[in-house]
Amino acid sequence: MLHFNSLTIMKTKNIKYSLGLGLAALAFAACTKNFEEINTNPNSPTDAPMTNVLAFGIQDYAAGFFDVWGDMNEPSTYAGHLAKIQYIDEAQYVFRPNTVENLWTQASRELKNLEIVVGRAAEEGATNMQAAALTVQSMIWQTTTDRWRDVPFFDALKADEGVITPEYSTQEEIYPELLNRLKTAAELFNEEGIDDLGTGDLIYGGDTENWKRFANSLRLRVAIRISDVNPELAKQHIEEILGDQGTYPIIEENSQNALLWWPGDLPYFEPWASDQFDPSNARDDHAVSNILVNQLKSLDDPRLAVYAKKATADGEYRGAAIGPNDLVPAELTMYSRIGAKFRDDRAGFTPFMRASEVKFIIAEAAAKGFTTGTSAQVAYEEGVELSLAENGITDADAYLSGPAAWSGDISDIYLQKWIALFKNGNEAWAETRRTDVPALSPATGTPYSGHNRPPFRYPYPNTETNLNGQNSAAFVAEVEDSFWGKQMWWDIRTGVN
Amino acid sequence: MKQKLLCFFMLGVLLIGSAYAQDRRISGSVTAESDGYPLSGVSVVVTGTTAGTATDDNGAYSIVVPSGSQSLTFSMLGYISQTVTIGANNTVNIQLASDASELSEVVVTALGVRREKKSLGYATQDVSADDLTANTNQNLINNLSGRVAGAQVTSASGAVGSSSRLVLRGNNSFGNNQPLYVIDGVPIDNSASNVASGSTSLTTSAVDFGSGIQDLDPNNIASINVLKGANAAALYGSRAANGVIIITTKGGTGEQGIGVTYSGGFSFENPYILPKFQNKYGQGNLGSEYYYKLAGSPGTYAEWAPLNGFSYVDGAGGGVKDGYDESWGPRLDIGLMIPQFNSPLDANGNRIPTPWVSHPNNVRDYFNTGYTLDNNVAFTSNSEKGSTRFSYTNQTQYGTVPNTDQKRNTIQVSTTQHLTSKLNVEALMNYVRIDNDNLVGQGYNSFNPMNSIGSWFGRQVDMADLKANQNETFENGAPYNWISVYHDNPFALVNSIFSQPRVKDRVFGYALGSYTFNPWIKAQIRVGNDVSFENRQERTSNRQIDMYRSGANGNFKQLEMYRNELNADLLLTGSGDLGQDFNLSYTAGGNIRDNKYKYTIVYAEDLTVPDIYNITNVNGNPQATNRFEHKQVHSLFGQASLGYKGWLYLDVTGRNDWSSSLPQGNWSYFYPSASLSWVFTDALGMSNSFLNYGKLRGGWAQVGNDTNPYQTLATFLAVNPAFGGIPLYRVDPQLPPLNLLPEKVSSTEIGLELAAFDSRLRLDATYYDKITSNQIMAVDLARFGGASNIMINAGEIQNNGVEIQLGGTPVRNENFSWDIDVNWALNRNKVNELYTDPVTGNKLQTYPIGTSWGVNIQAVPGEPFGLIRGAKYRRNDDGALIVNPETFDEDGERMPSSGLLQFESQQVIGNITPDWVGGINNTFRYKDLTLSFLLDFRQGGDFYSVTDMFGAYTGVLEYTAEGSLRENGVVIGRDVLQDFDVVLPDGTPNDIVISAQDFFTSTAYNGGGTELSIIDGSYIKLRNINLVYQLPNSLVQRHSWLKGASVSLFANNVALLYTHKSNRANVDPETAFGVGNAGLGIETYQIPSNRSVGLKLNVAF
Repeated sequence: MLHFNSLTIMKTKNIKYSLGLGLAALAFAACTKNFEEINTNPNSPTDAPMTNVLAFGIQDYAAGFFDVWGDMNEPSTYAGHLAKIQYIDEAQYVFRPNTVENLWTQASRELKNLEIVVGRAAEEGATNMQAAALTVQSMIWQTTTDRWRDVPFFDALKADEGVITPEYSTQEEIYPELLNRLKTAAELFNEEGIDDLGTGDLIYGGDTENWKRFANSLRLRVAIRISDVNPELAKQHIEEILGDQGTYPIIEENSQNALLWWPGDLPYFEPWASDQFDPSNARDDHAVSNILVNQLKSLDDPRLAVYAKKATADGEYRGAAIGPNDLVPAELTMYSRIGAKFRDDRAGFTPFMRASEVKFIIAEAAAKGFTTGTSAQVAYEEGVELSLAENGITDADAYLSGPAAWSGDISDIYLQKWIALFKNGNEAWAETRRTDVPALSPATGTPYSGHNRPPFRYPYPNTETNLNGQNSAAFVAEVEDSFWGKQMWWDIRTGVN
Repeated sequence: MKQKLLCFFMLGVLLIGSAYAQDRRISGSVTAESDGYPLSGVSVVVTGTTAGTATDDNGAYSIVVPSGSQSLTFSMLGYISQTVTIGANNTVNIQLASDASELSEVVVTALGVRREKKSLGYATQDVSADDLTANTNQNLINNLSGRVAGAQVTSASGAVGSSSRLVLRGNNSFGNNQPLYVIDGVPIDNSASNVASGSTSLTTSAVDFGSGIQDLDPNNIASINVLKGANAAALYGSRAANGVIIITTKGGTGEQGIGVTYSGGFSFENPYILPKFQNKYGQGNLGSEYYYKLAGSPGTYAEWAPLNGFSYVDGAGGGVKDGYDESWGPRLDIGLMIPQFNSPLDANGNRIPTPWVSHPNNVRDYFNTGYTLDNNVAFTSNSEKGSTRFSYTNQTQYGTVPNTDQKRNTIQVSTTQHLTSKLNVEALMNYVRIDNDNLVGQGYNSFNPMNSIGSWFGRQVDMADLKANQNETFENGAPYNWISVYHDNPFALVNSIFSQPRVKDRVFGYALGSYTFNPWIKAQIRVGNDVSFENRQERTSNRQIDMYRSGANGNFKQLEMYRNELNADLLLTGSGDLGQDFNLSYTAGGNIRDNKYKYTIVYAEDLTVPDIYNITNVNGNPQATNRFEHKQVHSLFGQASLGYKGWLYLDVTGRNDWSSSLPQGNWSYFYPSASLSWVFTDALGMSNSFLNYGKLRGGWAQVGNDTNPYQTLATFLAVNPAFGGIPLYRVDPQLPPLNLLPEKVSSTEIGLELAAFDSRLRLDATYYDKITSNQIMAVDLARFGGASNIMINAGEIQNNGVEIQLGGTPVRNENFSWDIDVNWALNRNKVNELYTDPVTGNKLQTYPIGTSWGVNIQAVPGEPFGLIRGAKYRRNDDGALIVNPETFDEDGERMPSSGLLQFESQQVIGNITPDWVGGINNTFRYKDLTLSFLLDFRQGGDFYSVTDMFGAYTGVLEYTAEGSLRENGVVIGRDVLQDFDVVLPDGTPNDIVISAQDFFTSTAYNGGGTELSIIDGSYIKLRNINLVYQLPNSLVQRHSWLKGASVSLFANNVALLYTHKSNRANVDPETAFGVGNAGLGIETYQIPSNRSVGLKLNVAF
């Protein structure tokens, strides 16, 4: 009886309650109407002004590839400019995997952001913005391939289209395309677009004439690098530029140098100064190298006092050995630190390209018989003068009539270019690999035996093995002892390993 | 939102409809038939309903019985249930006869619904309050270690306030693997923004601020029930995919009138697992006898060592190797005289050499004896109309790391009022304030003292001297320390240089109204809210070594954080019989969950005036960032259980969620579950004294899951701060998903419960298999795609395993009993697949879980979750390790690479998943004295120890100076790595003598150095010992004012009984880094775990 009762209760009342529940369900369904609003991100925009993205690309590159991790520890040290005096692992070619990961990641994100600017500017017909972004992106591509040689290029930056394991392109394929792109940039600038580069032009403050010079000078840099392996192509581009300076103006004065000046407020200290003065770094791990100091001394080079400080122990200019088994003498006060202009200025500069380098490119082209409109000697001397002037030395005559006087040997150009490139480790390392001037020995303290030159290249990051293994495997296999193995396309040195 | 709530409540009111009729209150007491002793915890349920209560410590109960209900059912584990018809009398006292069967246990299941355990088709496990409150452990998770089959608890460190990670049935997800925590039916926040992730961005530190569940005061917990699988949790939906920990708090139920309880605890803590350090060689470089001999033994070693190995001038490289924070220097305790940082100065200001001697306990000497004070007082009031409990707890903890502390004050008020016999209201309010004057930094971080003293250290350093002079400066102005680069004086570090104060206010609670129409329908509305405000600061003074060296004035960061979770639900429950043989119970309802999260961070990277930690004191530009997140989930759910003759039960559940975080087309998702429970001993009538109880159960369930808000669209991120006033924008490196679907966990489980020999032998065994698919995860991409990661819906992880709880009572008589409970669980885990791009068909090969110093923890298809990859020793075809041949340079000097090992990068060198975990708890009762101890253990599960790796690199660990390694040099394979065959490339046995320093520095770090420091995480720990004395009943009854008293003596983390031989460094094999996945399998300078010994008193008046 009791059971029957309960059943009856359930049956009669439940109709009402089920109805209620049904209504409740409907109420819920209706309540999703604010979901779109709720899930709209109030923290960051879906679009940003292109000028600010351009600024990111420039700043991020300078911060990543010209600082202690991206330059001082490795490129500037492998180029013979600097020497690590504490924690000298990198100078012995013992690297931190994270450093390589970070640089790889930074390069790719700078390239991607600039790719977005190029694409958007093209859509909007903002030719100046398109050209500027293309110029900076080409510069970063060159740095990238000069470090790792073969990297994803034609297949790269398309993860948003589903290409999550991009195939590699060889340096042989990349270089010609960079020449094309820089030519495109010059032509875009020549369209005299009316678009303003905006506040994000951290290099020239919106001066498109200087941008044009920068783009053309970069094309010279790319071209001269391959002048030994594809002289025809190099010649074609160099002569096109130098033969028509009206259409293709280049950087000729130090005032036209492509530099990034840092604000000098934390966290935006100039990267070499930041290594010293940012409290989160506060390091004193680098001296100038004995190679550089001895070379400058042998040339009576007035830049020595600018590039280096006197050792505090005895007031001498004394460079440190690069990656020795053990430092001798052990006292750190015996070594010259990097000059204040380059090391101690929080609001200092990062050099992307300077007039002296352009002159040395012209000098080399002339020496190689390309039509340049000038002679190797004139260009060489102009290059030296520009470099000295940049370092506050106005009278170049004495220097150019001393040991640094033009001897007619192309290696003079290479040596002076190497000196002038101080603080641009990317270029200095590339040039020493290409020219073998000055001849450099490997670190004696390295755990990698059997090498007769400093590193040829960077190891690929572990993420490339882990995340893009099938494409990277063949290229990773070409690397030996992390830093050697297959040489750069443009590195025609023989007998080196 | 308000409108929606309103419509929700209106509907609720509509449903409640007309209230009438007379309820009555029945009270009484329950005693044991055998000895008349009061029985506490007896479930008292109005027959045929789910309305019920439980008896208190004195066996008393009080319950409101709706008119129409005619009987009460009393049930308790180990006793035969009784159903008593209610007569005219409002007092019902009964006696229960003991019964070995497990038939009548009542457990709290999802949404707070109490159900008979026998009717459940899935595994649950109870933990009693006694296990949680017998000691002063401040983090209730730590008390669950070893007590729940299939739960793996890893506590992060011995630092005050550190989190503990609890995982049920293995790691399911690439994202969150933490269970859902529910207090009295209301989910509460357990998020942790700490350690690896730092305090969001703008941070350099790594402090473990703990996870949300740690805010709960264990003194307020009545019981914990663990729902391990998706079946049990299906009703909770999305967040329950990793299981649910259901916490029931203490209420005011009990004897009528006013009651007072007091409990007070006190304990001491000391580090109990420290790395084993060497005491033979001090700070410096290339200073051992081996190098002296290599140099041709010029003069005596005593003359040579200060000139070559170590001699202090300024601690920054100005002397001989005095900027080295390593211990490869001269030999200790052989009478050497060497200038040191604490040597006296002569007239010229030069340091006078002092004896070069060891200080073997210098690391241990760094730590304090910490202590914990725990005081709780609770007042209860109970009448026919309802009950109320008020509780106040004050807990103070001082850490073993100097100057670290936590003060926690908790006020909890809960009340249940029976407004009429049908209308019931309840409310709970819990307010917690957590106050830390300072917490210690953790991880690879100069703010973690173990970073220095645990590896980058001079073994000769006198800790007492550093302590005494921590506020002094040297004559050159540098802060007084053993070294003047890289590191701070470890005492000054925590006392004056770096501080991380934190204040957190948290309020959670709920209000509930329920109305019982009839046994078939009880409607309930419950609104729960959990809100917390937190202020964290990180302050670095200008005396910090990098600040000092760079001339900076210190820095300052402040984080203000707000979290709010609101849950509103409407529940209908009911049960009753359907004819003779069938019984039905159901739950149906809906829920709105609303989560809000916001934070603001301001940061001064440098200060103008030291020690003023205010943003207006910034030198340069202040940096700031803020964020706001909002998400809503709406749900409808229902559950029904059909019972047949009390021995067969079928359960089905269904739930539909609508989540705002998913793309519009995929807002809604549904998931079902079904389970079956068959009490075969009853069904087959086979219950006898050998086998009292036997049940088979099985179930299948699916649970969905959503994601964080704002994942569906790509945005541009501003880089903070602007560059000289110019904002830098970059595209989010995380690609948005193409068409995000909800995650899905499918789980099946079968279980067997047996009780035999009058329930003196008990078994609960479960086999489960679950597959998590469509996982929503951000996966790393090959960077040259132009993005760092992508949000995808893919991946499949499979976990299957066995959980066994075996309980025995070998001895049971009037005066003495012995219970033994064994928990054991084995989980096999496999990553079935990752991701294939739908457009290009490109396949993802690896999912990175964590990384540290060249080691990567990964998920790889076909392998268990948590593969460890790193540099492995190069082996030849015979498995022998290969060393470089001896080579010489042009000057005839041996190349430094000679005789060193070769490596192959990114090879598999371990896996983090343990083979099995378990615990054994023994309880001995003799009259009023109870002794229990818990052993817990883990087999397998590798981890990478950064302490071991850098400890070998820096030469501070004991094994780097074993025997005469540093005198005579080593031959790899003979003196070190003896377990391996070691050969030259031509296959001949290695005979090249190298220095110990070259071996360890090249193997531990320079070579990638990872295989050396992979440690097998197997362990056996004596987790705790409790001795409880319960004041005898006879004594209590003599004093009318006293209701009971007990005192317990306890020790937690008593001993590490076993650790694998690969753990040469002797780090704690139980290691974690926060509660997330990022720190899995990596130990980084863990703050040593503590042994805690104390006393706890409980008195009831």
